[in-house]
Amino acid sequence: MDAIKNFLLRNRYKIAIFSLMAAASAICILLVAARIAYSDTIRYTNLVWNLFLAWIPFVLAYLAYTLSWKKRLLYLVIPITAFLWLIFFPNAPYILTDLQHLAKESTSAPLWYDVIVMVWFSWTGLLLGLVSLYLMHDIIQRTFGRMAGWAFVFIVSGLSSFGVYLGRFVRFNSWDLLNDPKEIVVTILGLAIDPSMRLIAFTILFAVFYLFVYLTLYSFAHLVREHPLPNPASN
Amino acid sequence: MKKLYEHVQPVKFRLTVFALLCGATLLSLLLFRVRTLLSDSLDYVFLVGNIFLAWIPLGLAHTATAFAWKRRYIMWSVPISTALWLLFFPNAPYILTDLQHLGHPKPGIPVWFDVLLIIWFAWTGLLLGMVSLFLMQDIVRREFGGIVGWVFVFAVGFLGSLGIYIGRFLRWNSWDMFFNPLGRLTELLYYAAHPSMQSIIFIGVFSTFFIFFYVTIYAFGLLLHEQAPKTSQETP
Repeated sequence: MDAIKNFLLRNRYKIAIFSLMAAASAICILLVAARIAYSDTIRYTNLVWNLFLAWIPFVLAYLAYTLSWKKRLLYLVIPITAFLWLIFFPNAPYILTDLQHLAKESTSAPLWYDVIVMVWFSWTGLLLGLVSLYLMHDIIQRTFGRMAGWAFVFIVSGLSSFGVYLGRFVRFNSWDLLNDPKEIVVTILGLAIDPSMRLIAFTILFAVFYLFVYLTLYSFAHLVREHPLPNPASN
Repeated sequence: MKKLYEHVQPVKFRLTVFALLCGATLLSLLLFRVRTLLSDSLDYVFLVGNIFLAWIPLGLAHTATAFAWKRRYIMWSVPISTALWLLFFPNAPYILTDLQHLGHPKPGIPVWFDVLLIIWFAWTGLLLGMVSLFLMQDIVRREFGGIVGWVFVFAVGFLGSLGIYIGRFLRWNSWDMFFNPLGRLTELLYYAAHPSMQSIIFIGVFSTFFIFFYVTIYAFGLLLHEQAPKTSQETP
């Protein structure tokens, strides 16, 4: 009993964030359900699927984080989960690009409502991604040091923006890489040798945006940390 | 040099956040500039005005923080700066609602660029609001305790959404309150007595979003705290 209590106490903020994200996802789904009931159309149901995909890297990061405390497993399990995490990671920020669906005019619900629905979905996806990035960042930092940790964050931002591009414009899915790796690699090499203006502009703007949000939330988190907290040992 | 370091050290994260927000604002403006060059039009020029307005509450929150440390003035300086801050606060998250301009596509520029453009502006505005809310919560918390601090956050989440609604649908500005306060208040009371379905849903969903978002990034800060004991040895 004490072991469980200790575990919960030690991880209470991880559990809090997990519950908050679950609640936010429930609200997102509720908003789409309300839209379906109101308008009798099934627009935006694909958002629910995208949100589900955004949960995959989040859960993988939690899994990797929990396993990373077992020293024996570190070098076996971490590379596998980290690799899987990296493949699925772009799904989280991808939802931001769904905002472009607002441009397809629709009269089935007021525009302001669609804006709120999209804001809820995209921000939930973005936060799911940022939290999972932070957990991976922490694992790398503990294992290889501070510099490696930040290098990891920068590289992941760049790679994932490219991943979002692949998903948005080339219409690849994460699991295509597991199904048909050869075709993906050939396509990526083709894009890398002869990149379009759109590819360069999109990837850079998205990566810088992502880094900016991550860095801001990271610094903001240190502001919060300066608040004195009740000591978990004393209660 | 050492003295400067001692000054900067305790507020280094405040400065980092400030610098990041400045950088993001500059980048947003740069993106807008690129858009005007590419399209030869002034579409989305209102974003520039809105991001400027979004900075006002952060400036006011920093002023209020500075005053809050001077105990002699606290009784009158803090209420005044809080009221002013509250009046301008809705401008920061307001930019989120500018996403609705995507619903009327502009020819010439691909939609994905406009999406990125508005996301840059909207996120910068939202984070400006969050940071200023945090600074104000900190003042309230120090004076009245943690619970009052959170009540303050929830109240601001609601009032801020109300403000956004007023700005978006009634098209009022923060400064209207200075020019015609009595007329505006009567009008507001009238709307409060006869709320529309639209206002209830908008304010309800937006306040929930706002409070949820703030609580999440706050909990994210505490998550870093959970890790703190392991890294605290390196950075004394």
